[in-house]
Amino acid sequence: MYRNRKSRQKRRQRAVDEQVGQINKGLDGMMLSTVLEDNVAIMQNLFADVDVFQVRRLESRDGGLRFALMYCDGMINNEFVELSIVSPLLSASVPEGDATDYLATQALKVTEIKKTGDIREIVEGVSYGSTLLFVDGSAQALLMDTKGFETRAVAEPESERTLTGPREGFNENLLTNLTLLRRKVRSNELKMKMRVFGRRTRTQACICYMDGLVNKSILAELQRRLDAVDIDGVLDTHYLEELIQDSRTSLFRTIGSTERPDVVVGKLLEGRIAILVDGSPVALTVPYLFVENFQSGEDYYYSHYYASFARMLRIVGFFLTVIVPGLYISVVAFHHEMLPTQLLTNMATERNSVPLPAALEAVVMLLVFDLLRETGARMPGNVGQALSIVGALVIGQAAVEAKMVAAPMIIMVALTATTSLLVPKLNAPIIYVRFFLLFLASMFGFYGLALGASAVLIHVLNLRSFGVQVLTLTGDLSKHEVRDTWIRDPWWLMKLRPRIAADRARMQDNANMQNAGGGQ
Amino acid sequence: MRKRAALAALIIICAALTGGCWNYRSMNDMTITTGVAVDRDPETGLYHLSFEYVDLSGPVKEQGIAAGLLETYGVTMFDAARNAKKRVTNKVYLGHIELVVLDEEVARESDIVTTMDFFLRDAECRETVCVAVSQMETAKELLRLEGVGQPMVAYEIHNIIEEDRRVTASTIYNPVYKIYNIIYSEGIELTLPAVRSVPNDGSITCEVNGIAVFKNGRLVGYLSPEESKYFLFVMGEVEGGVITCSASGEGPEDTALEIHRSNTKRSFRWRDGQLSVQVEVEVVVYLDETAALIDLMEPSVIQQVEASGAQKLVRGIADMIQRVRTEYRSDIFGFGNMICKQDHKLWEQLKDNWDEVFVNMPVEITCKVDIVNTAYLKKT
Repeated sequence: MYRNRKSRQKRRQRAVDEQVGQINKGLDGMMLSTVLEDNVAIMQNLFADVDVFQVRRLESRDGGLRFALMYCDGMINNEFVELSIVSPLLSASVPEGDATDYLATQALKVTEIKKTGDIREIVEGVSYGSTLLFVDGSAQALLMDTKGFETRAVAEPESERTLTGPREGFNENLLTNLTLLRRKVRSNELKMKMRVFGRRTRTQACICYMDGLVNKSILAELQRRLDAVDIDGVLDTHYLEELIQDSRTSLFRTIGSTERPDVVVGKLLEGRIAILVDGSPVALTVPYLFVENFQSGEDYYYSHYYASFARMLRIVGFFLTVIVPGLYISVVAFHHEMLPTQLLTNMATERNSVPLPAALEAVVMLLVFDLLRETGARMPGNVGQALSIVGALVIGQAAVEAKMVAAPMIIMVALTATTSLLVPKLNAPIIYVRFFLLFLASMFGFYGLALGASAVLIHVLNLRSFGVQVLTLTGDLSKHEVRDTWIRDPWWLMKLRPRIAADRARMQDNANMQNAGGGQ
Repeated sequence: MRKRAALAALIIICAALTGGCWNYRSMNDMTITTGVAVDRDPETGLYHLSFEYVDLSGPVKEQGIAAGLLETYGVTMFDAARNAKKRVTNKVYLGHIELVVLDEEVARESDIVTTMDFFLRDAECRETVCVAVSQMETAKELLRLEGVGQPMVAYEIHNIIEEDRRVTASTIYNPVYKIYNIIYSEGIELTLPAVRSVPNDGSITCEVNGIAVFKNGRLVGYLSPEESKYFLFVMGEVEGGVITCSASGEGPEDTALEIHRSNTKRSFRWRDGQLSVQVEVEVVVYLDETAALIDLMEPSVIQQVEASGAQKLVRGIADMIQRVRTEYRSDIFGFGNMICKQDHKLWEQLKDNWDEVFVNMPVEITCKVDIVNTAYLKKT
């Protein structure tokens, strides 16, 4: 029985492998010819039914050589191709020998030229705005970088607006994004390793890190996991995130993401690693500690007093949004002694005429809020007013007046809803944990609440991000470990990098602190 | 150390959050009661409990909550409390009771331990429930009154009694847990606040009226509000209130001293088989009102007023102690308890005829009044 299943599995795996192999079969083992027309035919065959694929035949003025230029229409900078490729070719007089070498080194005015006979590389290049040049008599082609397609401007990211500090955000072009990083770090220490993901999309991705700071074992672990990625398309970094994170089933994220280059560089300087993918404005950063959920890039541009306050506020907000519904139900249904008498009579008055039990009412109201929120996120901007009127008036006021919902419940939902927007990075866990605690609280009161909260805490304590514990409860509150967590100390106090960095001394004149810090 | 602190915090939080009676009970399913009057039915001899409950049936949002009375009978307190269910849909909820009024007759005839047992033992009731003795025909009458600006008369009475010590010093606040402690301590007798109804602006409202004195768990008599103040001085529980006296030491009382703080030292002396008790009271006061034409910038005048106030206190305390000793023979001051704690051997020797010793021993009272402030006016 068992063997049967195993062999069936094996067979299925083989079928998948075969299928996947067929996708790229056409390109493997194909050779270019020395005859120009043959090469043109090969390319036209590969790009059959691709009407944007253009072939342009040229002949040098002295009639010595024939060329074929190939590109995808709209992907290249026409003017540039005209000036730097077409006109030099027309006037080229090629000496004896390999024409491609001569053209690449002496005639063509293009910065990036690659001589290749690899059809796969050629196809990828042409698809991505390169211009391909075949010369009659050569079995090698020249692939020239002539990208000229439109990209979105570098603008402030919508999801991470700040009041102060750098306003740049990534766009969908990998190279632009890399320049945004490179501009901030004028050093060869910033390493950028390119790789390709996606069997079909062949998407470029880049792994960035600071050579002296990164923890080598984390880097090796990341490489190992990326090597194992096998997917046909990568349209956004989150495709990768789900494939490489430590706990695939956990609600809590163990990989960070941001659209801001200043945040990425900040993380790199703390010894973290960033992954950027072409076509996505979101960069991933690893390892990702739990406390990063409550940090914002902006914290470092404000006064540390304000930033520390804001961080504590976010942490409090997280606890409130997760625990308030459960707390409310516990108090209303189990522990009436906890309420001051005045409040109890007020709440009893409110609850007196309401049909649903409190727990069910809470679930319904929270779901209604989630519905409103999701609708708000998905709807076109110009119908927003209608939604807010329906949400505020109908569901809020009218429901209370019609005695369908108790007023304290509306207050509770409002508090839960507002605080949940404080920590957008935790939006998924918040929803589930909130309902989990609400359920337990409606069964067992405070006891259930305490039990559920402990379970969540234990789960988070067990999470790892690339081998690093995301949350530690060692009781070690020594100063250097809390410098940049729930508070943000001023820079002159943050002499050490966080524990994940290989080189912990942040400030030169305090280099000896490294040993002190390591000893703790 | 930090770990230990964190652990302690965890235990406290868990204890605080997981305590209490533990079952699902929606707020619509309970009758919230705020006070209870304990009477005994003269014909059947059953306990007759009258619960004051929060009436949520009316237009509460516009008019605020209203109070109602729910009467019930039973062989024991708990029996009576459960019998209330015969008359209402929702079980009575005792977690927010703040006042238990004992009928005078009940207090006189049955031991307080037996009547209070339910309120101490029941899981719902708070240990801070205030217990008072009604001076009315029945205790139920008190709960039928309306408080001044407060529909729930039970809360009104509870708050009056609890705040009293800081403002008027005319009665004592003994919640259930203290009653228990006093009853099971040696050499001290119980005192409870006494409450009655008085006419007020055309209607009738409640008023605290001194202290009810118990002996061996049974009511034996009352102290007037004035005497209660002196009693509180002896107990060292005065935190506010007024001493009136004559500025010159003779004639009508024309000066009021506001008590800022007071301190009482009590001690005893055992010499030659004779026990004596010393009570030293030190009061810091503000001169708040005087109708005497005196120059308050003159130190000798101030000293005169201080001496007069002290004299008034000494006389008041002595008279009060004497009345308690002769009329009630009840050691409500806890002099015996003081001896028991400080010299247990002596107490063992005395306790068998403590009543005699208590009534006959000399009590020395010294008072010191210190005027620290005469407010804004130099002269009158």
